[in-house]
Amino acid sequence: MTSNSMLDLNDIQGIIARGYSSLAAASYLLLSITDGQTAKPWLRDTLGQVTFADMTSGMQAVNIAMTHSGISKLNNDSVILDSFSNEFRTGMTTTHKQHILGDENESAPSTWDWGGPNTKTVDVLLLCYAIDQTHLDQLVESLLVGSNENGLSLIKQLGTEKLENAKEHFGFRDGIGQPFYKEFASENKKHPNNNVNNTVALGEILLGHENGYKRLTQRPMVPKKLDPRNVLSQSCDNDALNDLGLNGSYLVFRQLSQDVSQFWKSMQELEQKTTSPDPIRLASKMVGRWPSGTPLVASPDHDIDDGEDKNNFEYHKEDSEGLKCPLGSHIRRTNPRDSLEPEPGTKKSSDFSNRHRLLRRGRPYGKPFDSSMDPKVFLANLDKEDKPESRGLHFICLNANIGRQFEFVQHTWANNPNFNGLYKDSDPIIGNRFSNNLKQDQFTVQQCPARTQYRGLPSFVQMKGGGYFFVPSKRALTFLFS
Amino acid sequence: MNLITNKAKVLLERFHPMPQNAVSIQIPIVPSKEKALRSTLDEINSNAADNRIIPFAQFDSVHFARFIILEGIDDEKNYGTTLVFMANIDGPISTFVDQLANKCPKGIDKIFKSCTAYPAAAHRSRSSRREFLLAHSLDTQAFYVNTIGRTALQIRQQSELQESLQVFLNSLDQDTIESAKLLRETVIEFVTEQPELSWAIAKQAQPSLLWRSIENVRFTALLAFGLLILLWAWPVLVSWALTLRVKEFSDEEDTKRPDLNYLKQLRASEDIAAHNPFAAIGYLKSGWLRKTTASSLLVAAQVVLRHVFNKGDLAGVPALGLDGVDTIHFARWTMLDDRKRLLFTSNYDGSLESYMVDFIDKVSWGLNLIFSNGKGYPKTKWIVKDGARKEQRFKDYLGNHQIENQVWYTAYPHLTANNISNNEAIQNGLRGHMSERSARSWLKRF
Repeated sequence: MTSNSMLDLNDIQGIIARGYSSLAAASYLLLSITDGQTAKPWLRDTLGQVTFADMTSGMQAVNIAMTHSGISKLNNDSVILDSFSNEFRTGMTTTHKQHILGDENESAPSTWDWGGPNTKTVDVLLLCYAIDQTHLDQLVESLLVGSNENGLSLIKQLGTEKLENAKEHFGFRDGIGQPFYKEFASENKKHPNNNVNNTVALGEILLGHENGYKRLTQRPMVPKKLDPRNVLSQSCDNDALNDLGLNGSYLVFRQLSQDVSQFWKSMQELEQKTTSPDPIRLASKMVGRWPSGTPLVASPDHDIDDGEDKNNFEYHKEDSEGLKCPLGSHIRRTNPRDSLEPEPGTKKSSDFSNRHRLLRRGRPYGKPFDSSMDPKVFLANLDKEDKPESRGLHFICLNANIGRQFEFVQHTWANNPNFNGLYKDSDPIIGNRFSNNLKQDQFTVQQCPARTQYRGLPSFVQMKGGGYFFVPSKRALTFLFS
Repeated sequence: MNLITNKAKVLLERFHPMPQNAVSIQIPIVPSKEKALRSTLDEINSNAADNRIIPFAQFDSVHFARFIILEGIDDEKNYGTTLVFMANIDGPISTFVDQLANKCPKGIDKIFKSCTAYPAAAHRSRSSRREFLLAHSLDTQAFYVNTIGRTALQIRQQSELQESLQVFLNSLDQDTIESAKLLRETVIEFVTEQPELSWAIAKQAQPSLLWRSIENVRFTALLAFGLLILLWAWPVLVSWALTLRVKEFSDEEDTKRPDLNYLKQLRASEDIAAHNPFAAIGYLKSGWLRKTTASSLLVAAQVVLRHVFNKGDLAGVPALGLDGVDTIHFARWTMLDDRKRLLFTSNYDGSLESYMVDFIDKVSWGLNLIFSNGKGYPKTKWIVKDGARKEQRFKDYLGNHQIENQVWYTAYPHLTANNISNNEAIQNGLRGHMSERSARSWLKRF
């Protein structure tokens, strides 16, 4: 069940192979399709501007993703529509998904700015990148020309903000722990990720290729008679079908708002009771890395800010009990590496974790609390804003199986109050504080002889919008737009 | 006949009782009364712990309980829907049914009057209700108990102990802690001084030496019997395996994806506690060979579950490199409809996705052994290989066979199996002498 070994980079959208870090400005356009037939020519034109994995990004890049609703407006054949994954078809907002994803109370879909039940249905997502804001503005303007007259309407344009030292808004360097795909190695050269235990099967991100079980992940198909000109390649596991999923991926988008002053004020308050209060140490314990990105496993007592991204570490041998990096910390939950059953400390354990990996492509939005992005400066000026500025993270990740990857990480690891043998501890940074009808607002720092337990954590991030998207290959886009 | 076997069971229970037991009751429903029954069950399910029909929280011995409205077999022309009641309880089944008849006579009437042959109003009494329920009891072919002998009451008490001790530890000034040993002594002193916790110092009740010896003798005898079969009948077993291997080539695997609306309906009631109930039903493959294979493997599974995998780790055999699963509280396999169908029910930690991942990643071989005898199961090789390892086929297979629980009750919704065993270790650590090192590892449990 292996697919052809030569990867057709010209068929794969660029965002899958790289994050366009050289393109500092980015914005995300959310569109709805008001008339599928008139939208197709416009979409075909846009397809001409889409960046594929074989192209150099140069001054700008455009990628396109669609929701299930969007695809249904272009092609209403139920055989095709039903062949997408259950999670993609279900979307992010059912009551059950709210339990799974922790989108309850103040994060409930009914309160979202977009993607929820009370806002316009999102059909198309255009991811636009440019070398600077001026070029980005021109790109967006040129992209949107004629959209209104051609069966589309812009719902929202989501801006992004490049923060100093690649940090997220709370002041921590972000995006270090990415899975490594050797097929895209040239793109990831700079990342310290290419150790054996961090190498993930291509099929975990790209549909139609071998996944972590050495099989092909379920993906959308088109009966041959519906693709008479064979725009799509034939499915490698069924002669009667053409492969709509091949070289595509699923994209999860979550707009997470962050209240920076509340976060750091909470750290101060939680530390008050301790003998040597250190809000930055506590926040780092929660993240699992220091503000510079240095992992606590490598340096448990102090930050080492040497400008180097450190990702070459494991948990089991170094810190199986969480004395350095707490068992419930954010990065230990979202990528437990070799720390979980089966057989912690072995490749078996890493392989298990690696079947639940996410390739992150998100960017922060909103002005920084302080342009230095230094938590020490934040702490010295906590009352500088009369009302909190709207800021946060446009969390975007790619995966081949939303259920086994994104939803699993979110529910079984991040939001799980019982993760790693804990009791009422949800992810200290992104976790939902109320689930299973109980408060889940503890954070436990393992120590010898006795742990320190913090209680009454508020939730630090709120959902503002989101959705599940499909990132089609070039062939799939050509098929859908014809 | 039924009455005699029931009497025999009661006697056996008295002589060598299993600490936990599986209640399974299946009774045909009167077609015209199904609708009313559904609304009764909905009412119970809206608050299974505390409702006016069967307030399950009032039964200390119940770990989990569920009602399922089960559709009959396909080839039956008539309405064949039955009501299935299942519970995982401490102590003998007869005692539990007695309590049920004593405490909730009206509730039992309200539910079971929707079933055929329920005694008419004039003939209802404690004993007629009891006899009715016992007469419809089903045998369980294989029953997995996370930890044999751990009672529901103990689980709840130890959870309270753990919570009180967490609060106590939070109240201490970290700087005054000199050593793990001294800290442990402070904790023990605290427990002793609390009247509502003092029970925790006493050694918890355990199965008697006699009971454990009988279990050991039983296991040794069964093991010897198994070895004899292997020694004498290996040619038969080998040809059996070869025949199955040949049959595997022509096995038909289900390629249909489950209906999304049905999945959504199933999911709607899931993930509201630290654990979930699972229920799935399927037809066994036809033919004498497959049915006998299924029955024999279930018999073998029952022996292994009772005597080997009875301490929290299902199917883990480190010596053989087999990984276990420690997230299942109870599970059981029940043959229905004259060995035509197999019903599997369990209570597991986490979401269905994580449960399936555990099946696929850790115990696929064990699952394949039993479920490969089910129609439509993903194709296996040599019974143990492939099967559940085919991720998508397997997930779709489960989706096609999963059924809804109309009522589900859990006695400790906030606890995972891992939490429960940790709580037990916390209580056990309150007794006896400990070195500084042991005291340290005990304190890590908080």
